[in-house]
Amino acid sequence: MGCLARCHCMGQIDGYPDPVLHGEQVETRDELSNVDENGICVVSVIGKNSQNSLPSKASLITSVLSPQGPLGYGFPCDLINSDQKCCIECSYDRTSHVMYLHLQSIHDMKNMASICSSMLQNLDTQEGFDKFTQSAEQDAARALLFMFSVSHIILIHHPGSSFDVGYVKLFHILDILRSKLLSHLGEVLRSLHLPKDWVNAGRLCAPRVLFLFQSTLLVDDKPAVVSKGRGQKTSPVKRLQHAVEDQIYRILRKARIITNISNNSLFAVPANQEFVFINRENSLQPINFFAEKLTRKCASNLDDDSSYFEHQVPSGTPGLLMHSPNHPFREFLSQHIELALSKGFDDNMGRNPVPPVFESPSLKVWLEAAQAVHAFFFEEPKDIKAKAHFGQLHNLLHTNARFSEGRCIKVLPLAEKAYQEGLPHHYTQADHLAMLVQAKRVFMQHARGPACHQYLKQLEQDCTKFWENGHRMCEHQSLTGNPCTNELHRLPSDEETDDNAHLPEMEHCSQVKTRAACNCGRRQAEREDPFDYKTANFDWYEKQESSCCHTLDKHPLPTFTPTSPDSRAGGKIHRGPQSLGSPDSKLEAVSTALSHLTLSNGNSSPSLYQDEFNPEASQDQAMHCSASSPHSPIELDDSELCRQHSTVEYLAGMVHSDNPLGLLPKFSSWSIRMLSKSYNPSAGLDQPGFLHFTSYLLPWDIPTQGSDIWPIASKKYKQNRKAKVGSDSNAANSVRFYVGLEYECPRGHRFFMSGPEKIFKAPASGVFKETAHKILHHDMPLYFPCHCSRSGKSFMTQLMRLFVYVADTPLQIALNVRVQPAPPPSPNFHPHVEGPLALPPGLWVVRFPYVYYGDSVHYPMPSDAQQLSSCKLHKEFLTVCEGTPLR
Amino acid sequence: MEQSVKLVDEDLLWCESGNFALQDQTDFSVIGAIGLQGSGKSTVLSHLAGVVPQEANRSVVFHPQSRTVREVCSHQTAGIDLHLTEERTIFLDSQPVLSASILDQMIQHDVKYHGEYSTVENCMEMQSLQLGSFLFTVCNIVIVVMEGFSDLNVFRFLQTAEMLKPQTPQPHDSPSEGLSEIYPHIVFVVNHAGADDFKAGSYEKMQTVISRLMSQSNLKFKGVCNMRDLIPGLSSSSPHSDVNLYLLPEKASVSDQLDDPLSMHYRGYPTFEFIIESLTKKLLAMPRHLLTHTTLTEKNWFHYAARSWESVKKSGLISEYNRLLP
Repeated sequence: MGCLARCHCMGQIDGYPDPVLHGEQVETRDELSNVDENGICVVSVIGKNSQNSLPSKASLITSVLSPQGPLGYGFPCDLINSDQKCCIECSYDRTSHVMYLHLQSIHDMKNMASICSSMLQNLDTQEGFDKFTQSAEQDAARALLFMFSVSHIILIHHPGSSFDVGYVKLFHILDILRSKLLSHLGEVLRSLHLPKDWVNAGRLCAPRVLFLFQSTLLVDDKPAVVSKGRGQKTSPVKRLQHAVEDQIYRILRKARIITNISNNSLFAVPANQEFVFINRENSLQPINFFAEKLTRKCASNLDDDSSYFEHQVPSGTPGLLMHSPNHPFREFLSQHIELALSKGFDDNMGRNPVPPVFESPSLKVWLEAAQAVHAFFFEEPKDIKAKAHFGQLHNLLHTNARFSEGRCIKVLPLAEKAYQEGLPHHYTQADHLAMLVQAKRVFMQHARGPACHQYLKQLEQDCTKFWENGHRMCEHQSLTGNPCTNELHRLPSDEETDDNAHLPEMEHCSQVKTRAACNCGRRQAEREDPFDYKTANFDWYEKQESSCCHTLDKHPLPTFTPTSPDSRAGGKIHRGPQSLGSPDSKLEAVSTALSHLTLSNGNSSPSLYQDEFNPEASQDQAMHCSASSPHSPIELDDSELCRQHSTVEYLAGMVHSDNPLGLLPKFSSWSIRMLSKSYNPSAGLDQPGFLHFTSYLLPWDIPTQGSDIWPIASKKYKQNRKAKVGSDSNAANSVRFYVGLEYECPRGHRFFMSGPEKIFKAPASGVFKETAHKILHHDMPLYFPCHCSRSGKSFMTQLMRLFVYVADTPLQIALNVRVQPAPPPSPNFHPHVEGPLALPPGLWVVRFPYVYYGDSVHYPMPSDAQQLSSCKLHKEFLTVCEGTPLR
Repeated sequence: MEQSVKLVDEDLLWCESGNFALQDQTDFSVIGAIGLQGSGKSTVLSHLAGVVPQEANRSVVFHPQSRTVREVCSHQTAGIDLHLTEERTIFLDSQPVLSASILDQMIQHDVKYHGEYSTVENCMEMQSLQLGSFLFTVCNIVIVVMEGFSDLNVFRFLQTAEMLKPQTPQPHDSPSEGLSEIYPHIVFVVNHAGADDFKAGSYEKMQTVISRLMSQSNLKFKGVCNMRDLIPGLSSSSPHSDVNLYLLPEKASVSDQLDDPLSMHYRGYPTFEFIIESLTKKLLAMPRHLLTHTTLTEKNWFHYAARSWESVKKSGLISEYNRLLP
C-alpha cells in the first residue's frame, strides 16, 4: 500500500494558475528557490491511463522520487469540479533536483469516467458533452505544448503493449503549432531576460521523449529455454525493447517528427541510449498482495516464527512497490536525468552536427519562465495572429467534426434542391411536409457524422422559410370544404397590418366550379366555390336574378333594416335592446291575447309552434285546420303584439330555431317566388338539368270535405285512395295540388325525389302512380347520391328547391320548412322568422340555402355516411288550412 | 473447415478462396473482430469459434501471436481471415487497425502507397478505416477487442469508420427509395481485465463511458450481451446498463491450474473459460438480422462482401476524409 499512501502525501502543485496566490506554500517555494541555485531537470509524464491501472502513471513518479521525500506544494486538482479540463500536477525532488510534471486529462480513463457520469456543466445534453470533450482535448493539446516547452524529458505512458500511432498525428499537430507560435512565445520569454538560446528556441532544449509500456504480451513461460536455444545473451524483454525502439524510431523518422537536427524537431530520441521501457512485471493488486501473504503465512504453518514479523516484500512479489532503489525503471530514467543535469542532451545526428540548445535553469528561473509560458498557452492571446494559430487547434484535432460539417454543408443545397424539385409556385402544407420528408431523406442519405443533427435542423428551417416566403398556399377552406388554391394572401376586406402588408390582395379561390340553377331554377350557370355564406346563399343568386327571375313575384322574407349606421352582429349573448326591453311583459300580452296559446317560456321560437302545430295523428292524410283552430299561426303573425325586430343588431348567421329573439338576418338565404299562375301536369316543368320526362311534380290530392266530419272523411279518403289511387275519380271531393322536392348536384344534374330513398322516374306509360304522400309525410334527406355517381367518383346532390302548385281553392297551404343540416344538437333552419308562411295560389318555388351557417357554426355536408342520414328536411313541411286566406 | 482461409490478403486484395465452403442457404450470421494491435482479436474469435483453449496453436482457427511475433511487437493476422463453423457462423478476423507494426512494415518494405495519401501514416489510418467500414457493412456483429479499457481513440475510430461506411445497397425492385441504413451490433470486449475491473462500480463506469462516447452513433452497441448475470451487484436501473460490454481476464497460466492449494489465488471473478463460454452462448443465441434489405444466402453474402470491399476501397467518402487529415 506504500505506493498509494505516498501518492497522497506527495501533494501536488498545479503548474498553472498562479501559484503566488497560495499563502504559505509560496513562502516555501520562495525559500527553496532562493536557496537552490543548482540547475534542475524537468521530467513530464503524459499519456493514457486506464481506469484501474496500478501502477498508474502518477505512481511512476513516486517510484523514482528520492526516499527523503519530495517537496510538493500547491493544491490538489479535481477535473470535474473545477473549470479546468486538464491539470498538471508537479512535485519537486530536492535531493536530485528534478521537477516532475504530471498531466491529467480526459485521456486518463479515470477522469473520463467521472466526466461521463457527471451531470454538471451541461454535460447531460449530448451537445454539451461533445463540446466539453472537444474543448478538453484542445486544452490537453495546449498542456502538451506547454510541457514540450518547459521540459527536458517527456515520458509517454502507454497502458498497452504497443506503440500508439495516434501520437504520430498528435505530434504533427503540436509541431505545426509550435513552429507557428515560436516567435510569439519568444517575445514572452524575452521579457523575462532569459538566455538568448532559450528565447530563440522557445524551450529549454529539444526534449527527449521516452516511451513506457505498462504491459507486454510476452509471457515468461520458458524464457530461459528460449534464450538458451537460440544462444542469445540478451533477454527476450531486451530484444522486444530494442525491436520496439527500432519500430518507433522508423515511424517517427518517416513521419519527420524526429530529424537529424533536433533543434528543428518537436523532440528527439537518444541515439545511443534506451528510450523504451517495458514493464514486464504484472501489476499486483493490493488485495492479491495481502492474500498471498496470508496464504504463505498459513502455509508456513508457523514453522518459522521469524517470518511472521517479516515486513520485507517477498522477492517474488514485484510490481506494487516500484520504488525499490534497484528498480529497472528507476535505472532507466535516472541515466537520462543524470545526463540532463550534467552534460545536457545532444541528440543531433548527421555529419555536420549543430550545437544543441540546452538550458538547465535554477528552480526559481524555471518557475518564472514556466508561469509565463503557461499563461501564454492558456490565456486568451492578445495578438490576433497567435489567436488564429490557436484557433487552428480545433480543425487539426477534430477531423471527424470537420469532415462531417464539410459533408453536411455540401449536401445541404442538394437536399434543398430535392425539396424544391417539381414544386408548383405555391403549395399546401401537406405538400410542404411531404417534400420536407423527401429532402431530409436525401440529406440523411449523403450526410455523415456528428454534425448531421444540427444541419438537419437547418434544412428544416430553410425549407419552411422557403415555403412561407411566397410559396405557401392559402388553404383557407371553402364552405364546401375545398381549400383556397391561391398563394397566401389577404382579403380585400382585411385591414392592412404589418403582418400581412407584404401579402398580395385577392379573394379566396378554390378553383372548384359547380353548376347550379338560379332562384327559380330556369337558368343554370357556373358558380365558384363560395368562401362566405353570403356569396353562397345570396350574392350569386342575386346576380342570376337580373337575367332571369327578377320578373317573378317574390314572397318577401323579413331582413334587417338598420336605423343607425353602427349596426352590429348580435348573438345569443347580446340581445337586441327592444327585445330585451321587457320580453316577459310582451309575451304576457301575447299570451293574454291568445290565451289558448301554450307559451310557457320566453323563448318562443317558431319551432315551438310547430311542435304544437303538428298533430301526431295525421299520418295518412293531409291535415285540416279550421281558421278558428287554436293552433293557427295567423293571429300570431298579424298580431301587433308580436315582438318587434331589432334595428340595431342583426343576426350574424341564418335564421334557425336557436336564434335569439328579435334579430333579423342582413339578407335572406332563402327565396320564395311564384313561378307562374298555373301548372300543366302533362308538360311538367320546363327547366334545364333534368333528365327527360322527370321534371314532373307529384300530385297531392286533398279532400275537400268539411272539417266537422273530418275523421269520417279521413276514413273515406283512405278507402278511396286504396281503391283508385292515381285516378281522377275522387276529383269531385278532393283538390289536386302538386309538389316537387328538387335535388341538385355540383355538376348541375337535377331531379325530384318520390320518397326518402327514391329518385322520381317517369314511367314509360306516361301515367305515374306516385303521389306526394311519401315526401310530405316522411323526413326527406338533405343530401342524396346523384344518379351520375356511378362513374367512380360519387357526387352528392343537395335539396335545393321545393316546387308547390297551389290550386285556387279555399284551402290554404302553409309552408313550414325546417331543415336540420347536421346530427343533433343542430338547430333547425327555416326561411320564416315568425312561423309558417301561407302560400297563395300559383306555382311556387322555394329555393333552399346552399350552405347552412348559424351562430358562427358552419354545417357542411358530413363526410361520415352515418351522419348523413340525420341531415334532413323535417316532414310536414306543407300543411293545409281551410278558410281565411293566410297572409 | 478446420483452418481459416484468407478473405483479404496482406496487400488488402480480395481473395476468392473463401467461397468454396459457402452454401446456398440463408440461415447464417457473420461475426467480425476489430481492434488494436495485440488486443487479442484472433484469440477471442478462436474461442468463440469453439476451440478448446488449452490446445496447442496448431488446432487454433485464427493464429494468435506467436512468440516470435510478440518478441518484436509485431502483428500476426494480415488482411482478413475467414472461418466457417458448423453452426453456419462466419467469423472474420481482421488485421489490427492503427497498428504501429503495420505502419512500420509499410515503411520498411517501402510500400508504394497510393498517390492520394500524403503520408504513410495517413495511408495506414485510411486502410484501418477501410477495414472498419468493411466489417460494419458485412457483419451482423462486430466485436471490438480492447487491451484494457484505456484508449479513447478506439471509440473515435469506430465512429469514423461508421461515418465512412458505404450505404446499404437499395434493392432495385423496391419502389420506395431511402430505406434505412443497416448497422451491425457492436460488442466491446475488454481483454486482460484486472480484478478491479470486475467490480460492479468499475464495470458500470465503463458502460457509462462507452454509452456517452458512442451516444451519437447508430451502431447498435446496446442490448445484446452484458455481464449482468456474471457480476453481482450491478444495478439494472442505470440508463447505460445494457451496453454490450464483456470483460475477459487473463487466461490462467498452466502453472496456476495445478491442483496445488497453495498456488490457488483469490481471484474475485469468473475464469476466462467460463466468461468466454457465456459470451459465446449469448452471441450465438442472438437473432440473425438481415445484412441488406434483401435476404442473402451464404454465397450471395460472399459476393456482397466482395462488392463492399471494392466500394470501400474506392469510396469517395474515404478519400474525402483523407484530404482533411493533417
